[in-house]
Amino acid sequence: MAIHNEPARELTYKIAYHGPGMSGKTTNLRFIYNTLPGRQAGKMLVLDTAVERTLYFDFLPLVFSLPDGYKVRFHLYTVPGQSYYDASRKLILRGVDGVVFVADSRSQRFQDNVDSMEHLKKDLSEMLLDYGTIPLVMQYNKRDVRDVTPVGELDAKLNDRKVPFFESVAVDGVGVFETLSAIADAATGKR
Amino acid sequence: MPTNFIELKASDVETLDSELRTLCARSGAEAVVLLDLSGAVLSFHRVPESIDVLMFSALLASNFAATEELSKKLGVTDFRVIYHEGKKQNLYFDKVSDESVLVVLFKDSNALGRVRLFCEKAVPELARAVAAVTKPPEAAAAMTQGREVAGAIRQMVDSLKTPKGGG
Repeated sequence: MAIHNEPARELTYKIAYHGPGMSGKTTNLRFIYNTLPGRQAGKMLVLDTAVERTLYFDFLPLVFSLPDGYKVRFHLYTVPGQSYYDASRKLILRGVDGVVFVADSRSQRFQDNVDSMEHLKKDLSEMLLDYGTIPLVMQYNKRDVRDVTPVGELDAKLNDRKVPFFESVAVDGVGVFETLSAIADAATGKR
Repeated sequence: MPTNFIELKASDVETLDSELRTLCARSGAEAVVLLDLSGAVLSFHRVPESIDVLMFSALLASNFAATEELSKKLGVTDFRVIYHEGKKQNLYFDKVSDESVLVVLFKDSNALGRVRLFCEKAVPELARAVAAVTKPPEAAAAMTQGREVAGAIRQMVDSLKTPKGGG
């Protein structure tokens, strides 16, 4: 839930990175964390399993200063991608102000992306949020690997709202901040 | 639908701070946090510097949300309190409203009954205060007032690419 703290001159928004398991949600947050100086990125919390799959969620707080002296905070969360975490995944979407859907471009993951998008719609509905209006940005990740699904095909299948989309190689930072800027715009109502 | 949002004016911040200060004193708590169940801090009092309050709140909110979900699966109704007992310190959660929870950190030497009593006394006033600052989504657009947030992010990222030093 967005917060406007007038005396502190701060705005706070919650953003969730959603998508199938191993699509690169945590990698997005890690790149942001490793790139931004300490004054912009707080401590990153990672709750993962022994095989580096997100168990519950990752959390990264960011803060940016605006020219008028206001500060905008973004609390970035990832959700666990695996379907057996259905019950906990939807809880992370509680009060979310924006969603980044991170799709895995590899051909063999095509159906996983489709299933994950269906999960997102269902989870939002269960948290009393509307998929049709929630600020949303698509990211088609792992564009550097062989055997990827063409972007047009991914977009036609996954992006029924025709929201902004970005091709990315999150592990190298390609497309990571472009995606973050776009969801910042969408969540703060500038889209 | 978009979510509601919280608008805190100076008087709201003072009201929440005052309630938490009073609760801390009366209950003998070490620290008190009021948070929104999406994980954001609304107010806190005496949280030690060693604790990152943003991370603490994200974990507390998810802990409460997970237990609340469990209670729904079990068919437990009117579920509002969680208690975690540690060797030296304990955590007590008391639900304030559908969207907020009060969390008290207290020492083992303190009595759970004392904490519970004063939380119960504080919750109605906190619930009124939270209700007063919760605004409908339609009013959220005024929050940003045309501020170019993405531009600030891009500018900051560009500045990281600019070589330092030289002249």
